[in-house]
Amino acid sequence: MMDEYVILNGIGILTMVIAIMCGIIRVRDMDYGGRLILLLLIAGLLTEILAAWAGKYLGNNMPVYAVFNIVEVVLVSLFFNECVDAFKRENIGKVIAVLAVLAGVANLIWLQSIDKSNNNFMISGGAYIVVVSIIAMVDDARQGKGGNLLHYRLNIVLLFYWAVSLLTWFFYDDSDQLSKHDVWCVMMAVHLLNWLTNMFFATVFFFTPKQKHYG
Amino acid sequence: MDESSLVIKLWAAGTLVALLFVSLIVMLSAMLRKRAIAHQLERENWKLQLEKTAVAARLEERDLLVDEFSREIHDNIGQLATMVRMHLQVLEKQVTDAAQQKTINGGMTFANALMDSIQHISYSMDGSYIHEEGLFNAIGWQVDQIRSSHAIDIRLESPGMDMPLNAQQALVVYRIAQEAISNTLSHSGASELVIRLQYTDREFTMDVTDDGKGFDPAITKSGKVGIRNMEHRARILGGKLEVKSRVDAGTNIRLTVPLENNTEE
Repeated sequence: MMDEYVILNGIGILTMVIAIMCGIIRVRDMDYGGRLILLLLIAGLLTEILAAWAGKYLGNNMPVYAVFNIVEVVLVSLFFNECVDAFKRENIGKVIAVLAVLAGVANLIWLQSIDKSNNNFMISGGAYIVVVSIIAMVDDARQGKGGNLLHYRLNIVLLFYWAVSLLTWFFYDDSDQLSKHDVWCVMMAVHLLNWLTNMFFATVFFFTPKQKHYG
Repeated sequence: MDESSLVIKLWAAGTLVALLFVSLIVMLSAMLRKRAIAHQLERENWKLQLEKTAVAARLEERDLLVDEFSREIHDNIGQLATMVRMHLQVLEKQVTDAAQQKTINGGMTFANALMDSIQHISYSMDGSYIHEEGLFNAIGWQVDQIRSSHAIDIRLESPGMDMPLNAQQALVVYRIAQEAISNTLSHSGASELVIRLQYTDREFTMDVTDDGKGFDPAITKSGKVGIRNMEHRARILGGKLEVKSRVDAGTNIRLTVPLENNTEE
């Protein structure tokens, strides 16, 4: 079982590294929004490494994920602030990022302890990401050629990842009732989702539309 | 059904619904994006067409004015010059004094030169001359006039078969050639100028190449009214104008005009 965990995580880390490499190669063509998502992937990679270490030496890696989940919602909020015109005008993304930090910390203090999964926060955060990514996609699509293709594609990947993983967070509390085989099935599906998402990010980064550079 | 399989079935069904939902949203947004782009392209095309029509109208108006001016020069000033020569001829017959006859002969020489110049100017300005003589002959006539001044070694070449340009195309190409030749004579300091007309099934190309002092297109282009005019005219024909030049390395102006769906007027 341990071997399988290492292999699955290893593949996950490998796909993440590929996505990050593709992002770094094309970072000059990316705007601030694209770079925020690249930063999110780098944070995700560090989290996975740290979580593996914490799992092995401290026996619990939940606090690592709990902190990363907050960072994730914050970074995605800042990305949305770049994507949606209304968000950018009123700095709504930044306000939501601050609120996400407060809500995340409050959740860890009063609702779900740091050494357990903070799925309450992730369900609300995920729902928020699904809704806003759809708004951002429509906002970009309506602008046609004037829209930001990189943002549009990144929003598709975010929507794909969060719409599917939201279900996992939703059923997280019921995971105790699952048989060993069913847990394995869900775990495989979650890994598959992560790999696919990372490869989608890699593709989107690799095909970042070229920008003209002056000087 | 045990609790585990119910949860897993719900989870699987939910995941499937989520995937379908995502696919639907992506498809709808892609359609929206495609439609927005099509709408923008349509608007840009319309704007380009409008701009093209406006430029064409402006240039056509100018050409008409030039034609009118050419006719005025030919008919009025040319007529007056002819009258002057006739009077001098009459006077020459009446005068017996050798010194006076010499003066009158001198006057007649100037009158002839004036008539030639008037004819030269009115021909080069008159668009109908191109329709009658054809593009090659019209430019050839210009070339002859310049060659006779010995100011520059000028050649007109047209290898291969000529494909007829329609009247509007010929006039616009002629005007571009005039502008290019005029620019060379005024600014290049060239000793050689070659005009080359080339036809293929698909396009007509005119190269105007000199060995003059050249210029840096990046610096000069935006400010050159002559080049801008040539570009506007090229665009009217759906063609393009490329200017290649380097300081001290001469200049090449290439006009390319598509000949597809070309109809004789």
